This record gives sequence, C-alpha cells and structure tokens, in this order.
Amino acid sequence: MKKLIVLLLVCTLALPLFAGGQRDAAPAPAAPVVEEEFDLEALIEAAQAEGELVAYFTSGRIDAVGNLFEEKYGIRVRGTKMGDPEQAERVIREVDAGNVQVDVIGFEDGPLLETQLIPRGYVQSWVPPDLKDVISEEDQNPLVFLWQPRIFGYNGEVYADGSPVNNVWELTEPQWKGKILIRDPGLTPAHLGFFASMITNHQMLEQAYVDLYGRQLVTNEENAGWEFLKRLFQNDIISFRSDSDVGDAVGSAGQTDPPVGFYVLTKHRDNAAKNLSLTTMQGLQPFMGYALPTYALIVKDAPNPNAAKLFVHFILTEGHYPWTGRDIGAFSSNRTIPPHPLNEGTWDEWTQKLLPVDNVQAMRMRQDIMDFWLEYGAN
Amino acid sequence: MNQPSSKDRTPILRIERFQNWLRFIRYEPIALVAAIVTVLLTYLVLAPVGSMLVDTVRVQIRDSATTGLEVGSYTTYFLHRVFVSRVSDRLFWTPLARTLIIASVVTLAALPFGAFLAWLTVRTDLPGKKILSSAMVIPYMLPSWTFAVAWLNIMKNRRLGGLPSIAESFGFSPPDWLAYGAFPIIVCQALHLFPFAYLLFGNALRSVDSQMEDSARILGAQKGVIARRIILPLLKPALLSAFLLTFSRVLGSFGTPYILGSPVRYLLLPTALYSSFQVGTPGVSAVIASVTILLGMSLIALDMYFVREYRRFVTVGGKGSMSRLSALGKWKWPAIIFAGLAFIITTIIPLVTIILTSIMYRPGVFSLSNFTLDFWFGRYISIMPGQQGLFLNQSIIAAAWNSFRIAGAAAVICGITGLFVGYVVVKMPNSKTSAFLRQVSFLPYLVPSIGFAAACLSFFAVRRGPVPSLYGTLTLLIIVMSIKYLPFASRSGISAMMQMGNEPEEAARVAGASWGKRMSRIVIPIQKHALITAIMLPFISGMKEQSLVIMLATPGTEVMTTQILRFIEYGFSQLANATVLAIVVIIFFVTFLMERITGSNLASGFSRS
Repeated sequence: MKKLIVLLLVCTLALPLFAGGQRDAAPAPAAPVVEEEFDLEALIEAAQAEGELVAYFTSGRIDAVGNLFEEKYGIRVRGTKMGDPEQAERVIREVDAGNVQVDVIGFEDGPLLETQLIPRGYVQSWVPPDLKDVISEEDQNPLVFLWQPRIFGYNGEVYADGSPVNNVWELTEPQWKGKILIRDPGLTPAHLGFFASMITNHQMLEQAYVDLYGRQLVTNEENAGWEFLKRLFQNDIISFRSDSDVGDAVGSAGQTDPPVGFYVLTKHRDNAAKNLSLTTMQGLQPFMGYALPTYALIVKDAPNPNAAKLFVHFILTEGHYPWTGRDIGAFSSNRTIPPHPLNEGTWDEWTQKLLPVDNVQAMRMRQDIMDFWLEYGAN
Repeated sequence: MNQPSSKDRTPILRIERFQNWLRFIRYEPIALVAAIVTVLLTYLVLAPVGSMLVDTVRVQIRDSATTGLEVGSYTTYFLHRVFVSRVSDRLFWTPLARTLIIASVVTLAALPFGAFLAWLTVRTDLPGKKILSSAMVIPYMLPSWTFAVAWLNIMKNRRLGGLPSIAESFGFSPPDWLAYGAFPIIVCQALHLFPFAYLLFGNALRSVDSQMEDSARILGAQKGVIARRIILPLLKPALLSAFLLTFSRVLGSFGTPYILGSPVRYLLLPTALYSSFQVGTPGVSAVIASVTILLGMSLIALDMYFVREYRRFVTVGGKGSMSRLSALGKWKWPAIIFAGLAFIITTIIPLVTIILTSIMYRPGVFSLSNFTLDFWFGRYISIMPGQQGLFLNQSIIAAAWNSFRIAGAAAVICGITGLFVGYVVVKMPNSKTSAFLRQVSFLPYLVPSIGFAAACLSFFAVRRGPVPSLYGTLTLLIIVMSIKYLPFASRSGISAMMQMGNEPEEAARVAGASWGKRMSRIVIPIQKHALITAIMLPFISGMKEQSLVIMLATPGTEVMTTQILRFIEYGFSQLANATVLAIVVIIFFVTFLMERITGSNLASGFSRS
C-alpha cells in the first residue's frame, strides 16, 4: 500500500513529463528576412548579424565549402555529411517539435522533396534573384545546385579497345551474370527513381531491344521497362555499400576479367589516386545512366535564415569550387561556371545521354519498384 | 456508495502510518529507490520505445509519400506488408528464419569458446594468462564491421572484382559460400561477440569458492558430479546473461550481415529493417523492430524464469572464500597452443590488418616505397589533399575529445543506474517492480539505434514539464547513450547483486548503519568490480556508436565514428583505419587506467576476485 501511494504520488508529479510537451516560449524574433529588392550587400550584413550556420549535406565536401564560406564572410559553418533518410527524419522532427537546429540542407531525394517536404512546408526552395538568369528554369523549382551523371562504367585497362557493352540489354545476357555492380537499390532511393524512369520511358528500351536483336520484345510484364528490370535483377546483379566501392572493384588495376559497374562520374577522380582505370561507357544505348540532382533548401523556421540564403548564393557561385573545380564529375546549375575539363562534355551534352527522373512519378512507383527488387533481386 | 470507505474512518492512523513508513524508509529505502528507478526508466526508456511502437500502425510523412496514406492516420498496412503480403517472404519470413538460425549458431559457437578461454585464464596455471585476459576483450573494442572488412580482404573472390584478396594472391579462389553469406557472418559475429561470454564466465568462475568443491570432494562426490551439481548451477546466471547479450546482439547488428551478405543478397532481419528505413518506409522498419523487441523480451522472460534459482547460489557471503588453480599437467601445451591461436585469430590478425592499412599508400603492395607514416604524422598527405596525419589532424583530435566526453559521461551514469537496478531487482526478487525493471532496463539493447534515436529526437525536442528541450545539447546525446547502453550495466548489476548474499548488509544493519552508509561502505565497495564493468562496457560501446550519434549530434559535435564514415566516403581508408586504431587505443588506455586505479580488471567486473 505504501509503495502504491508513493508511486501514485511520483506519477502525478511526473505527469507533465509525458503530456503533449510544451514548446518553449517563442525564441527571440529572428532578424527580418531580406526579400523583394535583392541586395547582396544587405543580405551579407544580415547574415553576419546571425549565428553559426548549420548545414546537413549528402556530400562530404560540405566541410571544404564551409571553410571557404567562413574565410569569405566570417560566418562559421557547422556542416555534417548526412544521408537523405536521416536528413528527412531530422528536418521533419525538428520542425514538428518547433526546435529547429538546421538552416540549410543539400538533399538528393527529389521525389520525397517534391511530394512531401516542400508541399508541407518543411523546407523552402529559394533562388537568389541575381542568379535567376544564369540558372535554367527547370533547375529553379526546387532549386538544384549540383548535377551529377550516374553512369555505367568499365575497366579501361582490360577493355582497351572500347566499351564491352554498347546496349543496356546486353547487361541482361549470361556473359554478364554476376558481373554487374551497383550501389544497393535497397539503400538508394535515387536508383528507384531511375528504374521508374525506365518504366515510363519504356519505348526507348523497346527500341533498343529491336536495335540489338532485330526483333520485337515479347514480355508478360506490363512493358519493356519492367521486363528489362526483371532480367537485369535476375542476372545476379551485385549490391555494394557505396559508389566508391563499386568504382574500386570495377577499376582496380591488374584484373583479367573485371565486372562493370554503375556509379557517379565523380569516382573517376580516384583513377589517379588509387590507380584505377574507370572508363565511361560512352555511346551506350539507349542511355548511359541518369541525371542525379542535389537540391539546396532552406529549412522552415531556420534560426539563421539570412546566412542560409547567403550560403545558397555562395554554393551557386564561387563556393561551387570544391564540387566542380577541384574534382571532376559534377556540374553546377549555374551555367556561367565552366565544367571541369575532364568531365567529358558540358551538362547539356550529358543530358542527351541520361534519363531524367520525374520526381512525382518516381514517388508514385517507388513501392512497386521496391517490391519488384525484393522479388527478383533479393535472394 | 453507502459503504464507509476506509479513508473516512482512519485519517489519523493513515498519517501515522505514513510517518512510520518515512522513518522506516531511512533504514530500508528499497521501495523509494525502486520507485525512483522505475519512474526514471519508464520516462527515459518506455516513452521513446512506445512512440516507436506507435509508428507500426501510424502513417508518418515518409510513409505517406510511398504509400499514399494520409499522414497521422492509423493503418494495418505495414503489418500487412510485413506479415502477409506478396513480399513478406522476402522481406520478413526468410530473413527472420535465417536470423534466428544464425543467432543460435553464433551463440552456440561464442559461448563455449568464451567459457573455455575464461576457464583457462581464471582457473588454470596457464602461462601468460595475464596478457591473455587483457587481450581477450580487444575483439569487442573493435567496431564490429572491421571483422567483416578483414574477412573480405582475406577471402573475397572475383565476384566482387577489385584488388585480389589475400587468398587469391596465394592462388586459392574461395568459393562463394566461404567468401559471403551465412558462414562468414557466423564466424565474424562469433569472433566479435565471444568477449561477452568470456567476461561473464570469467567473473562467475572467479567467485566460485573452491571450498565448495572441496566440501563436495570430502563428501565423496565424483568429479562429474561436482561439475554438474556445483559448478554448472553456479555458472547459470553467467550463462543466461551471456546467452541473452550475444543472441540479442546478433538480432540487432547491421554492419556485418550487410557487408558479408549483400554480395550474395543474403538478407537478414537487421538488413531488411535498415533497408526499409532507408528507402522511406519507416512504418515497415518499425514493425520489424517490434518483432526484434518481442523476440528479445521473450528471451528475458526465459531469463526471469530462472531468477528464483539464482537466489539459492549466493557466492559472495560474509565469509572468506578461496580460489584454487587447476594444474593443466599434460594438457599444458595443447592449452597454450589453443590460447595462442585464439589470441592470434581474434586479436592479432584484425589489429595487424588495421595497422598495416594505416601505413600503406596502396593496400597489399609490400614494397618499401609503399610504406609511410604520413597518415599518422604527415603535415601533408600527397594522396589526400587537405588532410593531415592523425596526430596533426585537428578534426580527429576534436572528435576524439567529443567521443571521450560523451561516452565517458554516459558510461558513468549507466554504471551507477545499473547498480541500483541490480540492487532493486535482487532485493525485491518476486515483486512486479523487479520483473518490470528487468524487462525495461534491457529493452534499449533490442531497439535498433536508428529508430531509437529518431524517437528520442521527437521526444526530447520539446519541453516537457520541468525537463527543458534537450535536443541540440550534448546532454541529450549523453542521456540517450546512457539509456542505450544501460542493459550492459543493469545485467552486470543484476548478476553481481545476485551473487552477494544478505549477510554483509545485515551485519551492518544490526550495527545500526543507515542505508546510505551501507551502500557507500559495504555494497559499493564489494561491488566495485561490477561497477567498473558496468562503466567500461557502456564506455566501449559508446566510443564505437555511430547511428545514435548521426541522428542526434548537433552538427559540429563530430565524434570519431562519424569521422570514420566521412573518411570512408572519401576513400581515405588509411585515415579511417588510423582512427579505428585510435579508438581502440583510447579504450584500451582508459581500461588500463581504470584497472590500475581500482586494482581490478574488466575481466573481473561481475564479482569480487
């Protein structure tokens, strides 16, 4: 009985601990957001009046960019490399709790962004008005700051005479069984978008089939896209943890019968450092891979909204160097920034060879494709 | 309403009784301690776990995106998808069956291996056992995936392409079953997890009083009878704890099964869970996590079933005890060879692999020009622009300090809480409170870090009554890490208190010592070693923790594990390996210091040695 009384007492005292939870009194009003008439100087001034900027980015280069930003504006950037799912969970939960810590994110899961995060107001896409003319219309909503080709590549040391694969249907043939490496689709939402795009663009695959084999494809699946995916998955494709691991496995020197792989073009920077022979499958029909965007977004109720804007402005201008100048493989959405000389062409040229991903469509099909992967890809 | 309630009748008596009780509690405040510990754990453990369980039927935003269901609505969709849909075989049932089998085999391998090594180092005259007893904990200090990565370096075949593995460079191409999937997962997990068994059995063996064996022998018992009727029952608590910790760890560990399973797409429960979380169906991962939790809870129920029996085998009484060593005799050399091999396989090979990869430009190329100390001391590293060697690398040094502070603070909190949990559980053996604490204090061990961290974020991001919003502070990380690793401390606390009889405390009580005095002068000194283990195991795990930190650290509070991730991402594997080694060195150094200061060692934590 005594125990019970004490327990009851303690429980009553503790009740508010479990109750809905109160938000702290509204934080000091943030500095007014600079809008309308864009004045970079005013933005800089407002940004410098704020605190340290917090950024979650999918790319580890956020560190280098942060240092450049601090050098230039004296604003410290606390950048963390973080995957899309963690970023999404954190932003959603921070905003819901009314305790936002992060200002700006660099995010790759376009489908989630366009169907949920932006419509629900968790993040906001902001295009610096003075850059509106140098960024293509389609990169502005939501704002893309970085484009990367994610492509098929092979070992150029072994296949010195050129790509061993010229048509994606060849990848479904027995000679490539167990020799196609890819970052685990079960961990890579962007790949699911690529697969969705194959299905919506199934005519391309149908035509490619005719081009290769000289006859029409016969399939029980809904269309050539599903059929291609099924055959690809069933050809014992091998999942890796990261594009780096794929690149290393495909490109390492001294192999006799190397696999082919699917990875971001940026991995070609390792050719020198790790003595790899990664080579792109230029001319692969009907596509070489897909266009992978990275979006820059400002989080709702960001504690440092002006610094966030200035940072977005920065990564679209000189702050782009660590991504596009130092290493190869990425393209700024700011068209006045020239591509790296080793990028094998301009972004416009690349887009001709890559499948675009329709974010809304990709999200609609994500679950079905995931199931398809589980059914034919898992063991 | 016409029956007179007891309240109306005896208000004065009630107050008196309450006053009496208050007086009593100063001497026997077990109920108060129980209440405090219960409330604390309910708040810190059940609330986040509960909120995660709710996610099995409630649609979150990311779920809504993939399923089209409305956010916040309730649905059986996730349950349906996991248990009875077209993909449930691939997504759940097959991985579940595999996971259970693998966990059983790992446990069956790790327990006897650890127990035998423990017996060798505690109860025999094996030469060099001092070194062995310190070294046997090292495998647990390494991040679990290092074994998997080392396995691939040694055993992978052409299926994964890339540089040849060591086996291949000797002209042997390992078959797929040897290189990937179930077999290597079992071996690597067993090698990583046997220290649990080693530590627990070691401690239990140490506290077995040789006088009991002597008495039995004098009474004419055969060796077999002594082993079966005396030694084994005394080891039962250790056996159960080791079983519980090992088995549940396999249920929840992601790294090793992922690295070794994905080349042949061998999906286990933790991999399925992680994948569901990553591609945006947290509801499905919540369901899988709940199954993991249920499995774990049934294991604890099993454990509790045996709890009454423990009570009869108090080994730390008020009397002296002695521990005699068995002479190995003609088995000396086989034992030395066995222990030596165990030492080499579990400790030397992984460590040397890591050291080598941190001093070579290109792995596997053994020419003098390929060796360098730049990754340790270099101001500039030619192949890693912008990075300095470990000792000059400000970001690693800052991260090391953060790791140490967070893991250290959490470990101390864990240790003390764990001891109190143990105290309450054992002093109130048949109460509901005891059962409740046993279950709840073990729960965090079973919850996947990533889901737990997400739940904690939501829960602690708002102010709740007197508790301010903790999200964004280092305090939150420390609290969450204390919760996550409390199970080590509470297991250690329970096992240790179990072996301590009532005599010492009763003697003090008779002499009129207050509860505080009894705790500080009797219980805690006797349990000093258990306390050390209860602090060190969480510390070791905390230094290695990754998922929790990724979700909850506010940017800038980089810790060593997140640095490692970053280095791996860049392909700076040498720096990553150097950082792994630094973690091991820090853990080892701290352990060593603790041993020196307290005069105990980690391997003796669960009892008086």
